[in-house]
Amino acid sequence: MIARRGRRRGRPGTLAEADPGFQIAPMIDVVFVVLVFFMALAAQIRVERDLALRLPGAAVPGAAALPEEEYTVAVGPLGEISFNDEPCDGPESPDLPRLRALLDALRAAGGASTAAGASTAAGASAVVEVSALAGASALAGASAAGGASAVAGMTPGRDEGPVVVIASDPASRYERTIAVMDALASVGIRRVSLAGEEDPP
Amino acid sequence: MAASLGDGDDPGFQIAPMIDVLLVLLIFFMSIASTAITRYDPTIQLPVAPAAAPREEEAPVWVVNVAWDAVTARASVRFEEQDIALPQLTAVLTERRSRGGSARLLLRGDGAVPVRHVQAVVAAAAAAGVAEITFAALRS
Repeated sequence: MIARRGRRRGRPGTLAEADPGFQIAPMIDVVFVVLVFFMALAAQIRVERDLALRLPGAAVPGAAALPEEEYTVAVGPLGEISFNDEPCDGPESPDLPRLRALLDALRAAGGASTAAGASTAAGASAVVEVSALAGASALAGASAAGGASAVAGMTPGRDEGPVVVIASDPASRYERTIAVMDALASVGIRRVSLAGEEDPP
Repeated sequence: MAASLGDGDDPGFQIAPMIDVLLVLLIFFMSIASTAITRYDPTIQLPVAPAAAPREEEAPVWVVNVAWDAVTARASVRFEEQDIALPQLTAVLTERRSRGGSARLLLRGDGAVPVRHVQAVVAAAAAAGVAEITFAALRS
């Protein structure tokens, strides 16, 4: 024992014979640092969710829309919402309470026969049905003289219920359109189509 | 018996398997991070939609990012980490579909982007015959 100590004292700084052994304390330090790093990383992860939109792939141009009851939700350039051309929610309200109330009433009035179907709808997924451009061109043909043709037209959906067209001003912020779709999804209206202008070539 | 347990043998701490496990964990998280980066543009501020449905993770998806630069007031459409023009996007999607690929299109648009850019992407996807489009949103 004494001899060994003496030997170490005699050759300071050499590591060749020093056996540091396994130090558990610094190991735990490092592992905790790694753990905290990944925890901080996990806090940054934000779970994204989806609003679904289904374009019928085999849209037949001639067999497009026969919309029986159609309602229009318009998004103005500043984000103001109007329902069937009547101003509804201003640009500053994020969750559109008046539009939701109107849609609720619409759903309750028009959806008496489809309430069962609506309640079995998977909670909140808005299946938005829009015909492909090929299908919409037939619709748009009638109004093509106006220059602005519809991007999307409605095709007969699987389920019943009111048809809601979202007509967004091209300059409005995208989040307003998403807010409208969210309102539609929350009240269970699943037949939605998007209207818009075609980009100028 | 040499292999019996509980006879007081101290197996000791084995550093080598420990390092093995840590490296496997490291590689796992690195691979996750890299896939997340290639598909999702973290600069996009997604809009909020509390009623949105949870994502179907197992379904194949083509991710289109629509980013918005508020300073220059320019939107950029990115598909698989590259800026892409809309006619090219239609061509790429058409080509993938012609090879038998089918997936839904996940549109990740910045909440501040003007809707015309999103409409243009939807129109491009529709022109390619993509039948299903979902819009990404945050819950809160």
